[in-house]
Amino acid sequence: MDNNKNWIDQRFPLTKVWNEHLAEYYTPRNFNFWYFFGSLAMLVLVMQIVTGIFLTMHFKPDAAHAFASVEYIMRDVDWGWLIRYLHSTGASAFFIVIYLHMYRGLLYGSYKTPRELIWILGMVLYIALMAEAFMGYVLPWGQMSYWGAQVIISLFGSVPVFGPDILTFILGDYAVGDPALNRFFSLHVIALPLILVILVFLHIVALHTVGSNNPDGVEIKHNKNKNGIPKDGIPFHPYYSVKDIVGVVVFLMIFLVVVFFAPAMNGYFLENANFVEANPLKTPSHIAPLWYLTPFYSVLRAIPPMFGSQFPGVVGMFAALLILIALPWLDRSSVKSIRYRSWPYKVALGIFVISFIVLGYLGMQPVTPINALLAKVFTVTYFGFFILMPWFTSIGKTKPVPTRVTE
Amino acid sequence: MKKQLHEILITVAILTFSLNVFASTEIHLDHANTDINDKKSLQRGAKLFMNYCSGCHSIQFMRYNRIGKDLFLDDVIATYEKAKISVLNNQSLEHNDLTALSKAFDNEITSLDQAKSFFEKISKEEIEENLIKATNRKVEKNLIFTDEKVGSLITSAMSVSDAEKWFGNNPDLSLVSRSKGIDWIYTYLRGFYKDDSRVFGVNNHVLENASMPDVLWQLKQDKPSKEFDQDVRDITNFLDYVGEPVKLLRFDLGIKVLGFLFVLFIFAYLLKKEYWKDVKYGKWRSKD
Repeated sequence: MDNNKNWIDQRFPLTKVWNEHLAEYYTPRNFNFWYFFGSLAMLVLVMQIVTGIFLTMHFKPDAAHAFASVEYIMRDVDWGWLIRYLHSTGASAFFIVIYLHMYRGLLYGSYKTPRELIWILGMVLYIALMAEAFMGYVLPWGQMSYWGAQVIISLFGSVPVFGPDILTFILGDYAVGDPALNRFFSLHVIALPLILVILVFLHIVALHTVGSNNPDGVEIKHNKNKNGIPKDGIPFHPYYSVKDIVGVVVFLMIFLVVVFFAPAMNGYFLENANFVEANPLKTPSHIAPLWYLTPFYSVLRAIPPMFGSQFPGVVGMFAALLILIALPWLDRSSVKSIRYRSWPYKVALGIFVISFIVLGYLGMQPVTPINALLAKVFTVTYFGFFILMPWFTSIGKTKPVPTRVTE
Repeated sequence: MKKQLHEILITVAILTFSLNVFASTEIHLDHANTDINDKKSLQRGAKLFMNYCSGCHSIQFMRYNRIGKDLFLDDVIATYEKAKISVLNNQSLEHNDLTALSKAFDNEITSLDQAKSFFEKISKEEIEENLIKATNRKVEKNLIFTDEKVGSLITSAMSVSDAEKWFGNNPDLSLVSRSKGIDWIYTYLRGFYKDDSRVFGVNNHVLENASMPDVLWQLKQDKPSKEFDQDVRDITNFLDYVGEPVKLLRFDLGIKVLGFLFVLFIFAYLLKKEYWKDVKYGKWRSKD
């Protein structure tokens, strides 16, 4: 065994990588519940890739056959139904895990110096994931796949001057159809997953360079013993590997309850209208994207057209997404963790969370006068969180941050 | 020709769109109250569907033999098991037992001794295969009214172009329980009322100006309303099954998987606890 290890180590830094990233990678010992979601996101990514490989073996990316091939997977392929439900539920689970992972960053100021780059890479990952999920949703070629794609892709058509050309370039046609389905398939199964995997690798390399933040927002590397090991650090392996296994099992229990007992999640994970094959002649009375995209869809609908163009709404929607990247520089507070933040930040974060959830809910609902007004109000508070951040993070009294992590 | 096609498409579009608008207005739906695990109800539903619905509507993602395997195989196996016990106990065989054994051995069985000799020379797998074949024959006899094979998808005898000319359309019903919901089906099928202004003399509470005739009218007339409701419930139950055949097994499998995970959780938790014994504030020391 040792001989084999030596043979490899002379040719590849196996032991070195193992130690640097697992056995001697020192992690704060005070991680709480919120720190499960990074490893869970990796788990879901792997699961989506593996189930995706098997789905790709049976799926037909052809407007005439796509819908039937999904039903073929559900009925005639051995265990096809389970693979498909794991994949479709996995998509929603991915976003739940990622939203909780991002919220953890907001709670404990994980995006602040020196972790700005981790945050930016994470945000790019998030945007790539949205594109990945959107294109995946088009593939079953149901009514919502088709009309959801029609709505989202038509946004690009609102770009002044170049809009129509961009639209044709994306679709390979003048409307969503077979060419679009085929290229979305290509992007969904190879281009975007490749980008996601590379970004995850970079995200982790950046993380392991500076080390993890923790619920106290204390830099454990500032307090090292005589061997140069952080006093509040414990090796990731075995301590967090065994802890994460518990997290994985609990996650799988919740996840599989959905897979086995409510895979459609009452229309939230698999929409009812998507069990009708795409029909370009029949517009559904109510078109809504899947739940994880709805906060941004709400922003899009909340901003009124200007000069006869929908473009401002589109800009607003992308701004709502991209403004998150600026977070490390908008936050002027001297402390990281919510535990020691001033009260204005706590209030603002609360309003932000409410805004995000309400916008998400409104994005699934048909537009009514009250809904439209609410969407406008919460769009303002959503952006207010970021625009006013330099101000409310510099006022109010913060609590003293301890030098070592607390229990 | 092209122009004609265009006109038909537009008509269909307008028709479906108008139906759609009507469908979106709030309609009270009765609770279907079906039970997917009620095999008898599913069997009755399958027969009713094949008799009253399949003339116009396909369930094109479903195969005849899948229905046989999911809904009828259990009964065939049960009668065989009963006969097997009689043979093992040396009891006299009734007519039912002899038929069941004939099916299992794929040979005419007339006596107890003959049955016993077959048990010695035939394998379990062969019996299983023969029982599936017998189920398929049952399906062929009771559910297939065309010259389709038992492994075929269940298509409708009416062509799409005829249906468009005669009714507007004849939607495939494979997934209707997933797109419309079972309560909708249950209420719709019971929602026909007399309306002389319509072509077929009936209209529907759930789907205003539906182009479908009230195909169940005879059942409705001949039976007490409770029994008729049960018939409709059986059809609804069957369509629920057709929408997702795997519904029959995913619940049971889910419970087993969760049971396994629960046990795994106990071990995972104990493992974590064991390792984390040395992580106490200020007490944990890095290895020198």
